[in-house]
Amino acid sequence: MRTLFSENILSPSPTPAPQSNPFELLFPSSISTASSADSTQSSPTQNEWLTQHLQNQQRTESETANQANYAANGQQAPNVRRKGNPKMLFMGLRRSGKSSIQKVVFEKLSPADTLFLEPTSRIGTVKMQSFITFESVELPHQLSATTPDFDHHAVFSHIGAVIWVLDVQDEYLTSISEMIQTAVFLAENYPRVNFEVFIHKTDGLSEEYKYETFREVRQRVQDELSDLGHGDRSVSYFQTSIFDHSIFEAMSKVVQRLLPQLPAMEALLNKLCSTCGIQKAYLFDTMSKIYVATDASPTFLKDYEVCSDYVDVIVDIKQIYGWHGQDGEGKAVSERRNQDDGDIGESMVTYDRSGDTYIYAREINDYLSLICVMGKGSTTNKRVLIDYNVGILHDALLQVFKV
Amino acid sequence: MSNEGSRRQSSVSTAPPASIPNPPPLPAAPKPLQRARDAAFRFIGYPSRPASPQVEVNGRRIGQGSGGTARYASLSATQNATATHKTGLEIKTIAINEKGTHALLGGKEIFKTVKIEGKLCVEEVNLRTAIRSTPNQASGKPRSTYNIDIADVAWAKGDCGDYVAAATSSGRIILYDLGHAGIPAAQLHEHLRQVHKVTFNPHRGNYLLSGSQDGTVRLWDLRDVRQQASALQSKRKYSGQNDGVRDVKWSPTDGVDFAFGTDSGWIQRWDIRNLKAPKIRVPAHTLSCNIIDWHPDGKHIASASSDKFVRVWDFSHSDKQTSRWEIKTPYPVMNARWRPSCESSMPQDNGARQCTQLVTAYDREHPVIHVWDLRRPALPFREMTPYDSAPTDLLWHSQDLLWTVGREGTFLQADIQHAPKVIDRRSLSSFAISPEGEISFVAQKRRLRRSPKLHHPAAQTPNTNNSLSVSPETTFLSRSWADDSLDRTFLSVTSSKRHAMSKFNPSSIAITNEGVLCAVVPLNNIMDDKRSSVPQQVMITGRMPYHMDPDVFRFLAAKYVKTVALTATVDDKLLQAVQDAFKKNEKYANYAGLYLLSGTWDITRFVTLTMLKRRAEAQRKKDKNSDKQIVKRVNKPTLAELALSFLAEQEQSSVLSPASILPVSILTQHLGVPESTSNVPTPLARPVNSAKTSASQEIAKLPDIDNSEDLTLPPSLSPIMHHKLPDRSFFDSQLTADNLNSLQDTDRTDMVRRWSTQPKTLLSLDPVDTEGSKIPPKLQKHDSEESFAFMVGSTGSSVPASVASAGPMVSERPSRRIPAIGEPSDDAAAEYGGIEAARSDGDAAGSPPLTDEPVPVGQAKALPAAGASPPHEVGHEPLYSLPDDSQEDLEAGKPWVLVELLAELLKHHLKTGDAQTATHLLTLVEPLLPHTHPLPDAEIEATVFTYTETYAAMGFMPDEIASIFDKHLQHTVMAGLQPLQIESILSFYHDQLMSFRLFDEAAYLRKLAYPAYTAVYEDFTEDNTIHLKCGACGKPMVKGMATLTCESCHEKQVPCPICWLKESPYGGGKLMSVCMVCGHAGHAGCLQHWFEEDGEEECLTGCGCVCKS
Repeated sequence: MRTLFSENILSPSPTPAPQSNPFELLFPSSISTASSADSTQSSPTQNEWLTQHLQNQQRTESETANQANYAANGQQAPNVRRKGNPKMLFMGLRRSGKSSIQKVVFEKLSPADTLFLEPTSRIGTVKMQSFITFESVELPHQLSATTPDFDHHAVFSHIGAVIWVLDVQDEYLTSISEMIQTAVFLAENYPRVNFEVFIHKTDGLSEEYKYETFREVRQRVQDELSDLGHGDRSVSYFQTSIFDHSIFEAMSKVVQRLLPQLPAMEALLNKLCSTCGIQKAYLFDTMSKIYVATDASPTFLKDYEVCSDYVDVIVDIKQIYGWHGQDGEGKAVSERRNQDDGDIGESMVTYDRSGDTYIYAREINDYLSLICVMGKGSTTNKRVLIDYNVGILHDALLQVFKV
Repeated sequence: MSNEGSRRQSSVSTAPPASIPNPPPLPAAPKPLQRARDAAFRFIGYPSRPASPQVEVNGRRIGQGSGGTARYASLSATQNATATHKTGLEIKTIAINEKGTHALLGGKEIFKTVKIEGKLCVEEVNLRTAIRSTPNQASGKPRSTYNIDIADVAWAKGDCGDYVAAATSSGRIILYDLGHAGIPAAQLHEHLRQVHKVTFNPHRGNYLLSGSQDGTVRLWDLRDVRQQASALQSKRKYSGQNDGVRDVKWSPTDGVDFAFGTDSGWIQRWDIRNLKAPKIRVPAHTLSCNIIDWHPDGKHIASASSDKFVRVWDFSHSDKQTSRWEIKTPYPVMNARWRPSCESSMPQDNGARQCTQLVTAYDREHPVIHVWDLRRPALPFREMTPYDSAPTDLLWHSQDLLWTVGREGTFLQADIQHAPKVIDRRSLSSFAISPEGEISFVAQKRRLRRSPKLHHPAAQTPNTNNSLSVSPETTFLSRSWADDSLDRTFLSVTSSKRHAMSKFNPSSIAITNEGVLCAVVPLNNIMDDKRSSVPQQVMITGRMPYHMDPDVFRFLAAKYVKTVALTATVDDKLLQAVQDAFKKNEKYANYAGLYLLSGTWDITRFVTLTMLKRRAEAQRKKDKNSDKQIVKRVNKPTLAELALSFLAEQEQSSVLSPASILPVSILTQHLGVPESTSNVPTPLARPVNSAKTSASQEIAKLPDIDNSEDLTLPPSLSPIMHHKLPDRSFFDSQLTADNLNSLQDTDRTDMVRRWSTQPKTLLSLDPVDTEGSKIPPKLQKHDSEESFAFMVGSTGSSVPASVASAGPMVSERPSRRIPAIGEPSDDAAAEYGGIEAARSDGDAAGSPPLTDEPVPVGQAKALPAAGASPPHEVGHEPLYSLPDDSQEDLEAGKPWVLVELLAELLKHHLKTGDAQTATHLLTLVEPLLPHTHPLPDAEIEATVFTYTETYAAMGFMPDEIASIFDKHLQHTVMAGLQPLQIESILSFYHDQLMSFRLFDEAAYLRKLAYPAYTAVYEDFTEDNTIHLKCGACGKPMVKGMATLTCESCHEKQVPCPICWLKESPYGGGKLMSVCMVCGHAGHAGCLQHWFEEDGEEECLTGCGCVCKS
């Protein structure tokens, strides 16, 4: 079974989740067996597997104590499903922008207002209830995760990804060294937790400087991790800024890595794109503007920006004209409403002077929408084909999630 | 696949690829061919492992490099081998077989091979139809619906040359045997996500690498297909990063190495025997790395990315590195390939092959294809646009033939020799001028000739393997295989003998005459050898003609004496000061080596002094008879009045109805006076032109009445002058309400005639007759409208009701008040004035009304009403001109008239762009000029009008405008200089100063220009900063209070002249206060103590300023 985390480290799930978990994808074919065999055989992880198992046992013993601790931290402990929600932990030096990212991405704060955020002093959780319930935790800098007295189990055991926020406009060498400490700590103790690095506050920097620092940070971290024997650990790096779409793009990638359904969704989108001549297809979580999947063609930030803005427009219109009503959300140049299925919301907008390029949006359900950038190949006279295929995709996606 | 699993399998498999290093071959008896190979290995380098049989395989193929790098297409020099094959279906990818005869096209609805022969493209095997027509799978089960979506295809090499691999978006790789096209030979399904690239090892054609979106690269062995066709499993799996592998490529020289580029911009080099970690891992790009390509030398690798860069990396060592070279492309790069190596044109390379070019294709919206040469990475070498949208895939067939496929469904074999060169469309010369007057100029010769052909026997003999045969009749002229980019325009070879210089000496490699076996020169050897081929351009750097040396300019700008402190009268003191100033300037020009210029200063000094002396003398004479002399006033309106009249005119035009009363009274007032006074313009006195012969004229002789009567020109002159008016458009546009257009067009004499008839109509206040309202402006122009000016000045608006009282007021008004002698008129001149008064300079002291009153009889047309100039409180104002408006022409008949001389000098210096000299001449001489050569009336009018407009636009109040005219422009105009010209000279010089960053001098110039010449200072009235001024050198101290040390002269400054302490002992801390009049500063506390408690009134520094007031 391909799971949330990188496949060669499969530890038994501590909470078997008796009810059907929508995020557990059942691969019907032999792929699953092949890949699981593939992953369980990885020898260097055998020991880790055992240690992990041991730790998990210890953990169940100390569960109650942790829960109290957790509750004290304002978190909802009892029904946290380990695999349920993509849960991210923000770490980084003070004033590096952790809270800002959370506020902007999950609470839709205006980026300019983040200037007035107070420094965070406690572990705080932000939850966004959408198609996928995103949960993000922020670890204030003064709580060093690597100190022995820190109850890292309570913090890290539920986490899917740790995001290290690095302020590139600040002196980042100290941040790098702390980041490496944390990464090593995680690699040794919680190897299934993804480690992501946001090289943050890149707005207003020159291209050369951005490239140089980005390259330097990546090279340095990689070298140090290799020296410490964790070179095989994959760390993802993103250049982010809350003032443009890069933060959403980076969060999307982070979230995607936590979704077990990603390959299935991607394959579906690939098929759709090649069949209908779609340039780029995104599956958006409508509320958060995070895309949970896209097809495999090269991504350009420009496409994402356009689509994301379009989602914004759709959300705004929907909030005016009713969320659950069966009115679609058409606007702009061409407006379409497909009422045959009760409440299929779809809309289209041309954004090119030539009229060849347009965006097609279709709701999968209330929280998930498909946004496609269409080029010359798929003009409106192929609408029947597109409609049909999108309908197929719609059903397939619903099946994937089995909601 | 896990480590153990794969290891187990590989041990089972019949021939492990390279995991077991083979023993080195016996060193016995190297054959001659072997020797050559060894030499080749020496520079290709296998640092980590001994030569193995596999290496020998590499060695054998080394000349051919990877893929099709050594294919030849024997094309003639003129033949265009462009060929196309249209399919009509979107082609996504292309592959070539080892021999270069066939292309394999893949796409969603296309999967076939095409045989290319010369210009002929023939479809050979249509795999797709074959698959669709085959109902059953290999196992006999019915085939599922055909829906493979091909992302990439590859053609196996060597023994497995019949196999092709197709990567699909679902993660499956399907192998087909071209012999049995209908049935997939094998399905390789281990990738979980889309497979982006598949590639076969160039040395062992049965090894297949596949790179997938799931972040893994898998190695497959095709030889297993025969045994286990149904469930072929990958040999190896290489992961270690979590983002998709966009491109994977085998090393062309090292059979066990490969590299791949990932979605997050990393490129990595791996050894297939090491599953753990890559040999090299480089964060190459910020965005996704779309393609990588090994340089044929096997050491370098090019990576191209969406971040619009192609970077070339040295992958021969694993040090932490940055890119060796990079190309900034205009668009996101989706595809890039090294051009197959061509024969090096370096003679010492002995025909070794080199490769410096690569082709790039961009994202969908940019259909252009560029061929770049790393030796000149700033612009593409060739470009072509084969399709409407960008090609989806491309590869090189041979050195000149590029195969591309596109979304339009066309396969194209393009002959790159026939693609246009970018440089042919560019201008080959360019120049730029620096603000300091340096000019750089780059030029290059355009040569239409082809590259110098290097005829080498190895290149001439076509390869026997060459399968792309061209029909014999076209092969009469063989195309050179030498470097295509070497032609005079783009790059040219500087032949030199520097064998000793390069570390790598290719001539040491014994290149055998086996034709194909020629080594590829490592890229860094070509690139580091800067002199081998460079763009041949000629560059010229130097000074602009007519432009001064910056050092001289700075020196003179700093040193020149800019102005002379003027006195109220011409006295010895002034003469001395003027002489000193000119002498100094002469000296500095001499220092600077500008002897001509110093001569100019000398002559100007002489003429100026002569003129001044004459004036002094004339004054003295005049003073003696001043008592007897009947004071006659000039009727000439001052410029201020003129300006005010313009302003009033505008207001009138806006408030028409009540204003129409005003002209009547004025008209009646003026109708009584002789007609000529109001109508005849100021005499155009040009004595030098007209009276050249009167050289014998006495200097001090007063011009007699007759002479002055002669000067009174007939009115017929004025229309001509009027038509010459440069700014007539101003009048037209401004006064349309008054219907002035017609007036402008009519003759002046007509107008005069009409005057006599107008009063009736005006008096009747007939609205129909609009003529009446236009006339008053004309009247005001020529008659001193003191009353009007006064009204404007006092009330701020032209209220016609007060016109009645104008007469008495005018008559009552005393004559123009002048600065009394000894009265300090200026801070700057205060010392002079004071000292002067104390010494009571003989001739000056005795004559109270020095300057203005003794009006010579000149052109005076006595008017009863116009007796006085408007009052001006000149008292404490600085003098802007020598207050001598003697109307007599003291210079008449002299060989040099100062104004004329100045005009000629200006003309000369402006011709050479020397605003510096022009400016300094102006600032020095202009205030000293006599009022004997005023500008033509019409010009004055136009000028005044222009300036009135400007000042009004600048936001000056009418009275301010009047005073500006009175103090600044009046003198200039009367002296015969055009203020507009001066303004342009000053502002040009100001720009020069600013560009030389001489801010102090520029500031001083602005001070001189304020407020008359708006163009000079108007951009600098905002964003001013205030600095402390150094007490020693007078320069601003930019660093401020922190150090209190002048940066220019390094003088330590006294913090406070009272306490000499850092903080005031009287309280108030460090707070400083400054007197705005004298500029002396001190602690606020100390100053308060000084002025309040000590009761002092004057500045404590003894400057005489009564600060307290």
